[in-house]
Amino acid sequence: MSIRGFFEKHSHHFHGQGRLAPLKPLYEAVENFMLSPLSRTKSAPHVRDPLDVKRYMSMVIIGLLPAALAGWYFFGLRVLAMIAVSYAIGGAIEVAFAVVRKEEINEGFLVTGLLFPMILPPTLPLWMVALGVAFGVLVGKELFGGTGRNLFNPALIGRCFLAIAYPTAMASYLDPVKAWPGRLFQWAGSALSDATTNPTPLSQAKRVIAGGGELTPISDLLWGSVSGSVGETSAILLIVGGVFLLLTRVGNYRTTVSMLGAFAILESILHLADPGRFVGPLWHLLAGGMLLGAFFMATDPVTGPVTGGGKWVYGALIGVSAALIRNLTGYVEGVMFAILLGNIFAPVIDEVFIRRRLAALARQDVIAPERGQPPGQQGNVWFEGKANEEAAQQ
Amino acid sequence: MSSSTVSAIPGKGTFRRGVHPPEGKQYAANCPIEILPPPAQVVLPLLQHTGAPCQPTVKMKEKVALGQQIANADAFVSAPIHASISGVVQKDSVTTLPNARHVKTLPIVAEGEQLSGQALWDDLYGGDWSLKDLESRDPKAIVSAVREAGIVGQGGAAFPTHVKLVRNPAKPIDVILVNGCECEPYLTADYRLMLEAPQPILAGALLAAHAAGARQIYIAIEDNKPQAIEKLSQAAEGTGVQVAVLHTKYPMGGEKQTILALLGRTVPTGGLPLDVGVVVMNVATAAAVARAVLRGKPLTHRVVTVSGAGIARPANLLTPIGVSYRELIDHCGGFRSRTARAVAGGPMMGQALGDLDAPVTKGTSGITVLTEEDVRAAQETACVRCGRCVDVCPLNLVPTKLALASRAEDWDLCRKYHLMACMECGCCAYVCPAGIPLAQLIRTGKAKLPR
Repeated sequence: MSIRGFFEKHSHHFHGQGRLAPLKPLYEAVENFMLSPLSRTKSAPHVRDPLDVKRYMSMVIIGLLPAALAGWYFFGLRVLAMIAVSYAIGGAIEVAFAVVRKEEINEGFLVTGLLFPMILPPTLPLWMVALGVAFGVLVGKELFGGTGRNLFNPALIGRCFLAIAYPTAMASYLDPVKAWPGRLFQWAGSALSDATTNPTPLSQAKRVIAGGGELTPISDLLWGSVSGSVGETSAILLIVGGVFLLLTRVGNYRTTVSMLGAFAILESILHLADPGRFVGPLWHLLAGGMLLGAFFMATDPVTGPVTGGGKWVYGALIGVSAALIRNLTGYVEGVMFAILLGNIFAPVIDEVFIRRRLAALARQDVIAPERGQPPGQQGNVWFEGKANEEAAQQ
Repeated sequence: MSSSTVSAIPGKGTFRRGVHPPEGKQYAANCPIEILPPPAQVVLPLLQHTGAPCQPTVKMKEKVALGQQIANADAFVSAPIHASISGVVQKDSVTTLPNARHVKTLPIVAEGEQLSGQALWDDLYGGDWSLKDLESRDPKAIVSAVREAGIVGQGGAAFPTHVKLVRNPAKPIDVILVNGCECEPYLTADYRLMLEAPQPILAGALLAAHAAGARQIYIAIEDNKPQAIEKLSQAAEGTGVQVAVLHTKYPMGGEKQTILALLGRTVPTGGLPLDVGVVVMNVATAAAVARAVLRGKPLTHRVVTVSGAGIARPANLLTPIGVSYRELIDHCGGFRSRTARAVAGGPMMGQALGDLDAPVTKGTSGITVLTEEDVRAAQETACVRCGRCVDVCPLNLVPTKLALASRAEDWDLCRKYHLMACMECGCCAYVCPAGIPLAQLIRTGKAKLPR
């Protein structure tokens, strides 16, 4: 039996009076995931661009995969367990809400579920992963009304919660294993048992500035043999995945370019002003969560502006904030807070750019908007005059 | 193509935003215009244009000849209707056009000898189209000939052409823009006409310019039609008509986009081309103008593209107005399997055909037959605020807000966001990854907006 046949055979259980009708959202989600859409356009335009939300989400996951696999290689099998827990718990909450609200399950969760473990330390206890993703999905998304309505990036809300609730565990990082086969077949202990607090490149940089040790070399940042969150290892793989997103137009280049650009400019200025206190811009671009944030988090459409101009401003705001937090505050990493700050400003930025559009339209408007009638149908003033004139001549 | 024959233009050759849907022109682009054998009956709607409906000027059972006027109206914004075959007028009836308008019709059953085949082609587009005494013609006579011939815009909107050509001292016209962009996917009727009948198009353009008092004449063609560009540039040599090549992009054929791309002029929101001194007419309309003025013949026939993966034998058909869609589809071998729907017009702006017995009107540019694969779409989900609709709207509107306001019937918000400025090109709905029918929502909002 074909897959479609299987779905057609069992579909009646989930619809109308079927005995599994409450689980309709779950059924539809699985059907949607397995099969290409069966719905058709209803009116013009009768054809559609094949890039739909489902492909959007698949593209993001494909783009994240290289970095996720690198995380597995450097930090071991726990990474896979963290991803599994994140999907299981977050998915359960998503399904529960969809069933209660009688809405369809949105593919958006597939991204959050993978993105969340990427921004956690690889030693975090699994129950904290579960708690964090539950908080992120519940408070960060469902309470706002679900997919498309959340103000903040759910993964970042979850991480922010964990960082405040469990600061020690959230600062316990693991040294990567460089030599083949890395930790591909190894389970590294959790933070609570091993109590490892290896410095990340960014916390190391603060020590260097204070007068001790050496800066992590750029080559290590590129290849990824550095301590840090699961997904922040290899800059090369992040760039490969990120550029893939930009080329497929799934990630909006405006946000990414302006965020990285503004960040690099401000870092350059700081570095030129005082090279002893501030490390160079290239190093900062490659270290920590900057690339992950610029390619995969700030480009989250739901929590960013919809206007093109707004995206430039939004990215620049995040880039500048990240540089300021990293260099001028007690925090070693600023990307998370910067993006959350950007999320707050996104609606305001949008409003400014939408007003600009409306003002431009109004400037060119020859029909008062309150009359709001289409040309031709209302009888253009001139046509009526002309008609009267002709009538008078006859 | 040689650059010497193609004119430099004041505009950039393109406009901001817009989309690139699959062109689908391969189905019918190489099918020469085919002359449909005279049908046994035509059904002529008495309202085929934007403006006032016509009243019959002939009686039931009256014998009419091809080209004889059968209906007219006194209103200035209207166009008379002519018999497209010779025959006998039947009892008036009512039909529903694809645009969901219920209109009165006059059926004509064929009787006697019909003009057909090559003779029909020669009568319409063949023969000599010289323009020797153009300057001596009275502009007003041109306008009244155009009105008498019942000519309306054949690009789709079907706005009476004579209205655009009347000289108005308050709004002088300096450019006639003949639109051969045909940006709508699948349609190739204008393309074939440009290849096979360039002379009447040029003649019509010159006559229109003389009537409106325009000094400059452009024929706008997208750069995906190199053969048409070459053909018209050659034909236009020495006539003063300039061929302008524009980028291929949807909706380049929308008059505001064509004017912006070609002339660099922005038509005001809610305004008309004449507000910036331009008259835009479709290439087929231009050919009809030439025929009306030089030969005194009315608009009775047009070229209709029948195309798409769902039709057995795609074609460009020269058909009498009033023939049924079914007859054209049958002539093209009928539907293939997996056909999902037939659309009057192209896939971006066309209307799905509910009734194949509805008649072809003056504004019908084609029938696009789409398959199940073509009309597949994502199930509608929540807006993810990706902003793609905002990125593609050629009029710089904010489609996501407009659709939301229309859905909520918040008319104040609709007005604030310039709902009525939308030309329903469909770019927003085409790109929406969440499958939200933005264009449909906005269209509904426009119809419901309290006046």
